[in-house]
Amino acid sequence: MRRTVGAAALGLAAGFLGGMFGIGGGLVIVPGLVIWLAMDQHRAHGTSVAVIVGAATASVTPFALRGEVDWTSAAWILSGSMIGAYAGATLVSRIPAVWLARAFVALTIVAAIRMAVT
Amino acid sequence: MTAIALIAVGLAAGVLSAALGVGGGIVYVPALVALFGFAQHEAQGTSLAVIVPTMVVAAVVHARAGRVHWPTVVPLGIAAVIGGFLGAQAALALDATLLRRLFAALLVFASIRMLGKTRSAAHRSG
Repeated sequence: MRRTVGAAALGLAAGFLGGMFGIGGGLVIVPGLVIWLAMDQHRAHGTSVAVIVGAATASVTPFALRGEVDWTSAAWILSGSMIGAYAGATLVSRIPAVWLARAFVALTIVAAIRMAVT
Repeated sequence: MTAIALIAVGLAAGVLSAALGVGGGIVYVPALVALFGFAQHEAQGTSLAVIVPTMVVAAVVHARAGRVHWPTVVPLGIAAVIGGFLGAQAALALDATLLRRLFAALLVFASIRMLGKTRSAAHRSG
C-alpha cells in the first residue's frame, strides 16, 4: 500500500515534469525507482520505459492539438531512433549497472550545458 | 541533408534512451532548438511525438527480457498519464525562454542527484 502510494506520487511528479519539458519523464522515474522504491538499476530502466509509453502519449496530445508538432521531422528522427532503441535495449543486459548510472549522469550533464548555452 | 542529420540524432538518442531508460527528449529538445532552429514548444512537442513509438519498441524488448516490474507500472503509469497531460498544459501556458531556462535548471539538479547516487552504488558493488 505504502509502495503503491509512493509509486503514484512518483508517477504524477515524473509525468508532469516529462510533459512540461517534452522529455517523457525517465529522468525522474529512473532515480525515483532506484532511490525511493529501492529497485535495481536494470529493472528501473525497463519499468520506466513501460511507464513513459503512457505518459508521453498523454503529453503529446495537447501539443499536437495546438499544432506544436513537426510531424515530418519527427518521422525522420523516428526512423533513426527505432533502430537505436532496439539496439540499446538489446545491449543493456551486458552493461554493468554502475556504468549505466554513470552514463546516465554524463548524459544529463551534456544536456544541461547544451540547454544553458542555446 | 536535414533528413540525414535528423536520422543521425534519432539513432544516437535511440541507443541512449533505450539503454538508460530515459525518453530521449533530453537529446531531441536541445538538438532541435540548437541545430535545427526549432522554437522551444515545437521542439518539445516533436520530441514527445518521437518518444511514444520509440518507447513502445523499447518496452517490448525490456518486457520480453523480464525487466519490467508490472505491479509498479500500474500505479506509476496511471499517475504518470494524469501528470503528463497536466505538464503539457503547463508548458503550453509558459513563455519559451522561461521554459528553456527551467529545462537547463532541471538537468543540472538531476545530474547532481545522480552523481551522488552513482558514487554510493559504486561502493556497494565494489
